[in-house]
Amino acid sequence: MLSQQNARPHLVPMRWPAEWRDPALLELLTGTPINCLVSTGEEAPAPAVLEKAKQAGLTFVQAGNSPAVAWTERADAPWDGSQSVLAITDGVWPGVQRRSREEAGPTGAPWIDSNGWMIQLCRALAQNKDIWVAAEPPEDANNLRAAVYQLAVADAEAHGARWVISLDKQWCDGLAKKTPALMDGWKTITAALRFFDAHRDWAAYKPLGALGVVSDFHGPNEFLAGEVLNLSSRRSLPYRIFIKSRAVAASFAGLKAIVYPDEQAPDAALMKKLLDFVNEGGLLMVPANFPAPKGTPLGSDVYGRYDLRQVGKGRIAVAKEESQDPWLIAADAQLLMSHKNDLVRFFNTGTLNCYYTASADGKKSLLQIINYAMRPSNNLVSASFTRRFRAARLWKLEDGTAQPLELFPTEDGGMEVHIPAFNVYAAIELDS
Amino acid sequence: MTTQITRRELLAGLGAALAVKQPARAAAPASPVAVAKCKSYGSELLPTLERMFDQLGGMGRLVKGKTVTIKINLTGDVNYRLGYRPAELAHWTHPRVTAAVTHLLGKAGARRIRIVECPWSTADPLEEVMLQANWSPSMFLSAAPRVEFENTNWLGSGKKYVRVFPPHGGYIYKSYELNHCYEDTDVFVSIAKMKEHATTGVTLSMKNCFGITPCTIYGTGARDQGEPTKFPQGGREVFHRGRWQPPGNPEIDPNSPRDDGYRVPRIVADLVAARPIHLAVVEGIESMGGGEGPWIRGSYPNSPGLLVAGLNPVCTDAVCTALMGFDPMADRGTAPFEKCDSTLRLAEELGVGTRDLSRIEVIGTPIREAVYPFRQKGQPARGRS
Repeated sequence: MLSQQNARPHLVPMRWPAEWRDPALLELLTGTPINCLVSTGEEAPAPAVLEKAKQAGLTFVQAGNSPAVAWTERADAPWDGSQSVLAITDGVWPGVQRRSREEAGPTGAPWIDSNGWMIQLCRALAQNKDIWVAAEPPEDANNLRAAVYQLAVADAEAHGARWVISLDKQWCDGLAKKTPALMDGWKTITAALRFFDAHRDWAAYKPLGALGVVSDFHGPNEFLAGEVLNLSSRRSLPYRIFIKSRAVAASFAGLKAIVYPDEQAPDAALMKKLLDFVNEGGLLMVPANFPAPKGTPLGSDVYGRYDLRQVGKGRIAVAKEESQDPWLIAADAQLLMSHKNDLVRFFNTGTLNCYYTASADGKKSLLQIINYAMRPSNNLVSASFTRRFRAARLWKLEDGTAQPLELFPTEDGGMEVHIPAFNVYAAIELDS
Repeated sequence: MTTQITRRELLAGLGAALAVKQPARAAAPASPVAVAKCKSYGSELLPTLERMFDQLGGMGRLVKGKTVTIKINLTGDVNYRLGYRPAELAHWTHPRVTAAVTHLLGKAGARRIRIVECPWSTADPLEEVMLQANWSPSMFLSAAPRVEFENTNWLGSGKKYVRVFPPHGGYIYKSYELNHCYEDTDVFVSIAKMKEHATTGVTLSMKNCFGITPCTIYGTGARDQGEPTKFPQGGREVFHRGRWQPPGNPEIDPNSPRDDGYRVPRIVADLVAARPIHLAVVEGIESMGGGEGPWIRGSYPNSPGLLVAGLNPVCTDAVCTALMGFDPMADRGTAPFEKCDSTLRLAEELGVGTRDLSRIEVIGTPIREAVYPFRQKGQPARGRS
């Protein structure tokens, strides 16, 4: 067996199909960034495969039996453990969910399954660990499209994680037989890996957001707080995650609003920090049982879901109902802090999600856009920003090279860009 | 209406009473319409509009010391665009036109100006909807003293809905319930975009008023609720197809055709008879052809470069229809009314105003010099959404 070496710094994992016993199949990895074979079953890869992989300098990871990689569901993840990689096994297969009309999203917009919010949360909880998403493709004839796998790659990579490449039976059989169409598709998939490998620095960019979500994201709070993240993403509402136990030491600079969804009141230090944020002009949204200062009553919000109170220069919005809907929390947060604080707005974006980040020095911003429909939108997509930038460049997964984007001023003093059609993924680099 | 009836409304009502049984084209009032070419929303816009308002006799006599309500057109979800075009350059009225009208009405002495609209399926404040479109509400707030906004798609700041009655008894409904803003006003202004419409052929100052009806009552979310919902949801499907009865507003004849080409023009005519328009402004500087919004297949951007204003919505819309290359006297079966009845004719028969160009004084640029055909000769209507 290959040494299960420390997984850092840049492992690009692929679940090696048990039925691929011919070491010649390792040639599929030649020229790709894949440098780590993963076995998730009881049956390890054939010795000849392991031997050849070792000679090629590949790392082998046996799921559940590696000191470097914790193979775990999110709820059980050893966030403070010694492993350098957390492979989260309960990720979703990304895509537009096929639901009946009655089950459509609250706005009528299509449901999107994405690991984006979960990856952001895992990165916040685990801090310096690498996050892998181990999601298996569902049984679906549609999986023959390479774009399905490109999407799985992009959904994880855009948010700073790695998808553990897992091919379904059709692909395993087809690639083993070197079926031309699937060999071409494999090139497409590995081109996506190469793209993100070439932009590895983007993963270190910090999330931007005027909204902060403070929670322990655990136990009784796990669902609501997690869904607030998920559905804020769906609203193209960028957010920053603050783990409750570390929030006192964190900086709230740049935030306009904080959602504190947990049933349990914060401890004294965090309470002081939250109230300081409000006193300085921020908006704090809390559940009904939160011990909020009475302040000066401001009445109700438009929808009657919150009691609004003026405290210092800011406001506290106390939910009227004990039970809260995460979609409405996200919508209310965006409305209560006002759309004038939108960092980014999209037009014609039924099946797109985005992730907005910036380099540590703030000189570059990056808007990554994932198209879960995996085909160009019927309508051309625009993105607008409430601030101005000096220059913008577009990266598309299918091109691999950047093209300059024209910047158009908007009526509100911001600027917008027009995004050429793309299939799965595009990124807009913005220079301040 | 329960508010004071103006002389114009009285005349319209009398005309309507005569019109119920027989067409009343001759009885329908005629009023001048100002037409101007305006190629951009830049520096030429304000002086052009000011000149047009002067040509109509000035706005002072209409608005001085009055509360003015301006209905703009923000049709469809804020997320929608025709290609890359911002909504205001295709299917929404441009904010600079609204700001310019607001400024001029303020300058003419309006005491209070309220900008209203029923934005798609939301009770969010109108300012927030504008912000989502990259508009700055301060553009309007600074245009005149005491400018307010209201989302009229629900109860809003009112305590109860107001009920307005088409003077002739109504084509489809005897009455319509509206947000209070449409009653608590002295002057009602409709600022519309010059567009074709998949259901009504054209959408101009009158069709704009289809959107004064709150979706808490007429939206799909109100179906089978028995009373207005708290917040609006969905579109006005009940007006289009009449598959259910809105709470508290049963139809006059539930056996009448369920064809939206029959129903919607009549509902629009009902509304403009019940809630008269005092000033109609139609902007076609940048617009779109083939339909009323990007959701219409085959729709495309266009640039008519036109502004039209009048004190009578039927006359104003008749001139606009002609400017778009259509015959305002046309009716069902003829462009642009291939699949619908003419709202112009229906409103004319209610005595709201004439569509007969021979009776309408066009001031400023003559129609023949400003006409901008929305379709090539013989080109059929584009598809429906």
